Order: sequence, then structure tokens, then C-alpha cells
Amino acid sequence: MSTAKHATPRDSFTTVTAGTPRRPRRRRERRPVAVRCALLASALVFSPPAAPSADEATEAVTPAVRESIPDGTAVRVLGRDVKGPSGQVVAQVVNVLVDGSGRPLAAVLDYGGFMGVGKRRVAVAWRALSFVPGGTPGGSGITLGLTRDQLKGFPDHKDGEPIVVAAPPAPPGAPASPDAAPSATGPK
Amino acid sequence: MAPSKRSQRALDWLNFFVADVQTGFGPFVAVYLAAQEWTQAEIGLALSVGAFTAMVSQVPAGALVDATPRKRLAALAALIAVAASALLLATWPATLPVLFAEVLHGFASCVLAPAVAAISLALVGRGGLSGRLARNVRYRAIGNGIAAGVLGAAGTYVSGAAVFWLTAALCVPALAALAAIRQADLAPPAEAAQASTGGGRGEIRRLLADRRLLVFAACCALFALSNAAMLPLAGVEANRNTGDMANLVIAAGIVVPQFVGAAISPWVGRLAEQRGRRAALLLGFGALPARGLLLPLAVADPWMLIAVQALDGVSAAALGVLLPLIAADLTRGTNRFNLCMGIFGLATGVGATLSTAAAGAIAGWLGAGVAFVALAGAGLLAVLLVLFAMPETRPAAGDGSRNLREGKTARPPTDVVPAEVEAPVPGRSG
Repeated sequence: MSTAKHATPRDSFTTVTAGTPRRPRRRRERRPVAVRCALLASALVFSPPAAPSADEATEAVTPAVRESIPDGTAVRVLGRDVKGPSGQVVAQVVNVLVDGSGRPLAAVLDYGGFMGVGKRRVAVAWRALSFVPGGTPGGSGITLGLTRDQLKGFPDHKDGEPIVVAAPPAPPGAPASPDAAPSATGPK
Repeated sequence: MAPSKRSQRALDWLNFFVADVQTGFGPFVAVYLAAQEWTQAEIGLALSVGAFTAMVSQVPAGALVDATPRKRLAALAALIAVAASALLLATWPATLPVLFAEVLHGFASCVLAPAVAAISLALVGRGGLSGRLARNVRYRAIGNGIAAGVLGAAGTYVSGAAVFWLTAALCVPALAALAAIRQADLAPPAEAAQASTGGGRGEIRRLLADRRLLVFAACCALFALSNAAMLPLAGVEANRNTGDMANLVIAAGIVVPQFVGAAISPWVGRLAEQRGRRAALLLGFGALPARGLLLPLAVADPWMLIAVQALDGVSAAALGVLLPLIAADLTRGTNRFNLCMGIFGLATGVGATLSTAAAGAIAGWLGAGVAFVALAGAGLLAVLLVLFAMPETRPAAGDGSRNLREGKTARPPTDVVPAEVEAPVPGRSG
């Protein structure tokens, strides 16, 4: 069974370089020059902003609304290890591709290799990844639902070339599954 | 006065632990910084700063080691600097500390390698140098092979920072080994030579105008141009084609050549001594085009790939022995040994930088097969250069003898060779 591939027009992707909405937990993450890159899992639901109170409305600048994300519900993505189906670390997340509405489409991974030798860059469909927030003991992290053998021979992801992402093959007997259909055809 | 067994053994262990310490840098830095949410551009900048520092420091660091009569002190300072940069990376991975650590490590490495070579020369003298350098290469190779495994495991199963803690910790046994080398066993390195030549700029100019130096520097550059990108390219191909086994295959492709190098380095040293430098060079350089042509055929089969990678050990052992040995040949009777090593190191660094850039571009453009052939072509050029332009530098033979005045007490090589033969090798293979 071959892996499902689909190419999407390049300009429908935006590289995520979002600021983290949480206070960094560790000092080492404060880097002044750096563009802060942290991404929350797409599953996150944002509550609508609260209506400004009366005394806020009189000021010229409305301060940002403070939303808090409960502990153990967000997953850090960029630079993090990705486990394979067997539980071994197989890759690190390098980048996330999102569409015009900010919805993640694909993750760019540094896949495989030993001591940095032989790693290659592949893009995988966002739905090929599953996320378990840090609060869960033992099982937290990011897991890729594709085996090495499934990714064997898959073309590398290169800047400036049409983007091809590796997606999980459709489960047999369920060809009309919404998960297996190309999901990158625009905002819902 | 022969150098004591104790100092010889201590120098073995110094080489072993220096290799361990140096393995931790480079590959792990990129992975570690990525886990700290550094962007690819920032990681590239940090690594380039380190590589650039290492390149521009080669020659000045060599001159610095020449200038000091206390080679052990230079090695001590370099080891402490390496430990400090490892600790800095582990504890404070912010932009400026990391850049500082990279610069510090780049410079310290450029002092450490010539300092160890200078200690070797001072310990055994020119007569026993080839055997001693072979021993250095053997222990460095074993250290590299073991460190790759241990640090790889630490990075995978503990944390990215664990690699740098471990690296800093490994500086302690390295310092202990350094301290165990008896000062009394080291020949006063420079005094006689400096007195005999007067030193100065004229001597440097004479060295730089030496055709043998220029030809061998070009050989080093071509060697690195051919060699540096081969393993990364083969690794990517193995990763693409091998499926589940890929990482093990790549790991074996890194570790196996180290043990091959450890096994054959004493023989390379004897070859360079008995049949001449050119013979040993031709052997090591000849392995390059062979490897470049065989690798594209072998990437589909893990066992073939590892077997072909074993040729890497032949090349690495040959260059590891011959680079300092030829530097010593060319600077006989002068105090410019480390400057000369720095020049060869600079040539190697330039070649290696061009190699990865060129091979990456060719592989992306025309495919990996063409890139392998291009690398093999550079290796073939290196062989031809040795064959047709590189004079023999072994002192007994011909034109190498124009400056035979020994700067130090000559020691018979016989007190070195037996010790080197009976040295037990942990994990000897292939």
C-alpha cells in the first residue's frame, strides 16, 4: 500500500513563528534576539475575549485580555522529539505549516539519523501526528503514526519546491473517512 | 634517556579522553539547540561561528603553541576551556553564551590538537614519532568510537544537556592523564632549535615557501574535500532507503571505521617509517576514490555500506598519522612544528567546508550518485597530487635531509616500537 501524497499550492502555507502565550517555564527559553517559537496543539479551544469593562473602555489603549491555559493541556511542538509507532524517538519537529486561518496542515521533521548524521527533512500531514500533553505521566509527547518502512523512499522536504507531505494511508474499508481525505483544501 | 612507560601510557589515555571530549561537540549541539526551540537559522549561525573560529584560529593557535615552551600548560588551558564551554552550553543555552561557548571551543580545539602533538614529539623525539603518532591515532579512534556510542545513548535516553555535562566530566580524566605525563620525560622543546636558527620571520617565510608544505596542504584540502561529505551523504541515502534499520546502519557506519583505524594505525606508522610517507599517503588517499565509487552502489545494502565505510578507517588512520608526521619532517631543526600543523589544519578545514556545501548542492541538483562520483573525483585528484607532486619527506631519503640538524636529543626508535606493539586494545575489531 502506498502512502497517500498530495501537493498543495505553496502560498497557502504560512510558517508559524508565534509568540508563546504562556510565561516560559524555564530560564533557558528566554532568548532576547530570538524569535520565540512555540506552538500550541491545534486541539486548543480559545474562549471568546471577555467584553471590556467600563473603566477599560475609557482608556485609549485596551490592554490585552489575559487567558490562561490549564496546566497539562498544551503541547510544545517546535524542536521537540517525535516518537515512532514503536515508542522510539525517530525525529524532531523543525517547523509547522499552517493555512491562511492558522490551522496546522503539516509538520516538517528532521527524521532519522545518528548523531546528526543522515537525518533528512520530511513533511508529514498534521493528522499523522498525535499529541499527549505533559500532564499525562509516562506517555506525554508527540507520536508519529507512520513507520520508518512507510517513510522509506519518501521525497525530502526542500525549501522552494512543491510541498509533498506524508499522510497516513486510508484504512482499508473506509475510503470515505474524513481523516483520509485531503484536509488542506482550505478553511472549513 | 628513554621516555618512561608511565608517560607513554598517560599520553595514550590523554588521546583517548580528548577524543571523547571532542565528540560531544558538533553533532549534538544542533540537536540540543533545536530542542531549546532555536530556529534553524540561529542554529546555523551558532555552528558557523564555531566552525569559522576553528578555521581562523588554526594558524595563530599553532604559532601560540610553538611560542610557549610549556606544551603541557597549553594543553591544560585548552582542556579547561573545552570543559568551560561544555558547561556553558549545558547550563545557559541563550544566544550570547552559546556563541561564546562555540568561539571558546573552536579556539581551544585548535590549541589542543597541536599541543598533544607537541607533547608527543617532546616525549619520543623525531626518531620515534611515527610509532607514537600511530599510538595517538589508535587511542583517539577508540575514544571516538566509544564516545559516539555512549554520548549518543545519553543524548537519546537522558537529555540533550546530559551530553555536555558528560563532556565536561570527561575533561577530568583527560586532565589527570595530562598530569601523569612526567615533565622530566619531555625534551626541552625549543631551546636548541631556536638557538641554532635564530627563529624569526625569515624562518616562517622559508617554511611557507617550501614546496612540500604547499603540496601537502593542497593534499589535505583535497582529502577533506573528498572525505568530509561522504559519510553524511551516505547516511542520508541509508536513511532514505533502509527503513527500520537505518539508524543502526548509520551508527555502524560511524563506529566501525574508528575501530578499523585503531586496528591498522600501528601498521600505517610502520609503513610510513619503512616504506616512506608517500606509500602510506597513497594507501590512505587511494581509499577515498574507491569509497566514493563504491558507496552509491552500497547504500541499498546495510552490510555492504558498513563494509565500504570501513575504508574510511584506512583514510582516517593514514591522515591522522601522516599529517603531524609530515609537519614534523618539514620543520626539522626549527620551532615551527605547530604552525605547520595549523596550516595543514586550515587547509583541511577549508576543504571540509567546501565539501559539505558542494556535495549538498550537487546531490540536490543532480542526485546523490553524481555527488558521490564528484567526491571520488576530488579523492582521485588528491591521489594524483601525492603521486606526481608530493616529494618524499622521510628524512633519510633524499631532499628531506637538507636541514637535518636535530633540535633535541635524538632517541632510538627501538624503545617505542615494542611498547606500541604490545599495547592492549579494548574492543579491537575488523
